[in-house]
Amino acid sequence: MADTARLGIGYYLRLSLRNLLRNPRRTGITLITMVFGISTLTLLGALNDGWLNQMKTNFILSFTGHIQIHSQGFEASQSLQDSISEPDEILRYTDYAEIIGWTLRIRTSGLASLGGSSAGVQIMATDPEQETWVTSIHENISAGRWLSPGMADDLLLGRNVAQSIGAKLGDKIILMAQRANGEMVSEVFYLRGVLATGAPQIDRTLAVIPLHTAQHWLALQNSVTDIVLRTEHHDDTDALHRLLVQHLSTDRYEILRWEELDPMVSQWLNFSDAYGLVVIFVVILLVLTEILNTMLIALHDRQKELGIMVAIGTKKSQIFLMMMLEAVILILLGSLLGYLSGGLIVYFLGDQGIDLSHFSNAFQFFYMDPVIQPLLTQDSAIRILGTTFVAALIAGIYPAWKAAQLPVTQSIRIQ
Amino acid sequence: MDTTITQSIISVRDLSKCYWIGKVPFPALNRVNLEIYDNDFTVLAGRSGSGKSTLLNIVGALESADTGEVVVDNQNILQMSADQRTQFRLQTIGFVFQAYNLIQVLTAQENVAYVCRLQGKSKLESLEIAAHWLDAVGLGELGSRRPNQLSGGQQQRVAVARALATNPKIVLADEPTANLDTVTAQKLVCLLQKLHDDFNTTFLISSHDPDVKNASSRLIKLSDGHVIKRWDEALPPADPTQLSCPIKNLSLSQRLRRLFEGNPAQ
Repeated sequence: MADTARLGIGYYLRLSLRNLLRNPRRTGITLITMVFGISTLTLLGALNDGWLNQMKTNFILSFTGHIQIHSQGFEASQSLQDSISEPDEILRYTDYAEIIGWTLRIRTSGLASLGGSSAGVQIMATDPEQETWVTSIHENISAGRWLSPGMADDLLLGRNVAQSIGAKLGDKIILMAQRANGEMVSEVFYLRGVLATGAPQIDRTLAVIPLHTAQHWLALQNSVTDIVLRTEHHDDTDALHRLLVQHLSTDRYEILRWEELDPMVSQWLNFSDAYGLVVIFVVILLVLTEILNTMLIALHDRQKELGIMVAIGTKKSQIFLMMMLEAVILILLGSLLGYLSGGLIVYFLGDQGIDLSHFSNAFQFFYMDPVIQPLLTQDSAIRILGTTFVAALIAGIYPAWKAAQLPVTQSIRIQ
Repeated sequence: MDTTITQSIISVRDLSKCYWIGKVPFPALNRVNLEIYDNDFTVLAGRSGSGKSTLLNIVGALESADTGEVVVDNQNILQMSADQRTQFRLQTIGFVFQAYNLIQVLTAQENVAYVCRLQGKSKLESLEIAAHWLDAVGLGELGSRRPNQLSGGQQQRVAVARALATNPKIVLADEPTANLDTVTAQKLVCLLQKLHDDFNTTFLISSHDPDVKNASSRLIKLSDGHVIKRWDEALPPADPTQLSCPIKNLSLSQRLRRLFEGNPAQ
């Protein structure tokens, strides 16, 4: 027997569309629910992405940069013995297009003293000019100024360090540190600026001095402990890391990405990502339930008609297709309208953001800005729309399958 | 009307069917044997629950049987797969059900054209065929109306047009007048009979409506799943005048227009 029961998908699309419109109120309520759900999801996703991005940016730009290169073992030992004696060997790779800034640093522990007061500090010696290409630490000065090129005795202290030893701008501060050979040395600096970033590792411990001064003072010649790199985009980090690992000896150097430098921040970001996924899951579950409910009610209402369609020669696969198309049209419309609505809210919030400065102290602790600016990313669009579509499609499959399995004679008898 | 028996188009042998509700059996058909002949206008009569609809559903390949053999148009339909049965229904059978048997989101013309589209005909050809058949049942001007804009009688006429649009060998109608008022029911019966006369299609109708029984050339009475009586050649050719259809000598379209003239709501 010839299989002639073929109808174009266009025919079933029209049929599905008309079926959706036969009960405009039900379809409208379903759509509104979907639009509300997806737009909320879009907004929440954008807020999550926005503050995660701010947090990542603030963390990277406040101190760490995207990638740090150390002599092998330095991250664990924090000892000047594990310094890079020939940084130029590495700096020739800074021509890579991904790198938009680099700086050299020396980091070591020390003591800052003023009069009879002293405090343990983390000394960071850096090039005043180069540092500004890599981090925004120079923008977080609450009093005074950033290091001035050529001023060998400039010193900046974190806000809490300065407070603990009672230092004011212009005060003569003595820094004490240990050279690589174990010899304790001290040097006089003048407080030129106070750093207030909100990040505890900076405000409570940091002392910033010029790189050349530190190299001379600590007898390191050209050696440095860190080479810090900044990439154009956060997403370039992994690619650059792979490139550097290929070209630099990992026996001699440790090449660390920002997330490896502070696992706590990395874990916090992962947690936030997971939290975002949980929110997506909950909203998707609601959308899925709504679609399932609508389609099952539609199936119940049209059982007789579907039975008759099968009786007069419609294949079960065609019934399945028709019902699936109804679900797909609902999903597509709901998802797109929902994403557009959410996108519009994000757009209008985009400039001013959501001001949560009331909680600014807590936010600064996590490298967050007090004003959260929502961010729509391609990833989140794919994640939200893709997940919604797949989930709703799954929700549509059951009613469509059930429609295709309806007992014809029982369906026809329904009055 | 030529009522000469030519050959059997439906042959039912020892057909039994039992429904189960939980563990309680409800026999619907019990070793039924019958023959329906080509170009016949046969009515299955009997009370509600006598097995008429079950027999019609099995002959129409909508339902399976427990035992027996059903050969329709030389095809043993009980041995067909689900897809084969669908194709069989599409190609061989035209259905008219009791009521509300149109697709609500399609217009009258689209409803009729739908089965033609299923048969693989083009959109244009299907719409032309639909227009022809709607004209044939006297609804040529109402093709653009949706079912909810048509009366019950008009909807049944659209269903008749749809049943015939695929050029089926057999039209099965299950209580086609059950939901219609007496006058509309009479006119529908008259229409079925006229179509049967003009297009030489076999009609098998289940009904306990006396007008339908009067119109039949053969009557088979069922009771409790058994064939208890049959009038194979006893009935005289049906006379449309008995059904208030004094239109015998007109062309089909004219007759139908006249038939429903003055009461377009039917």
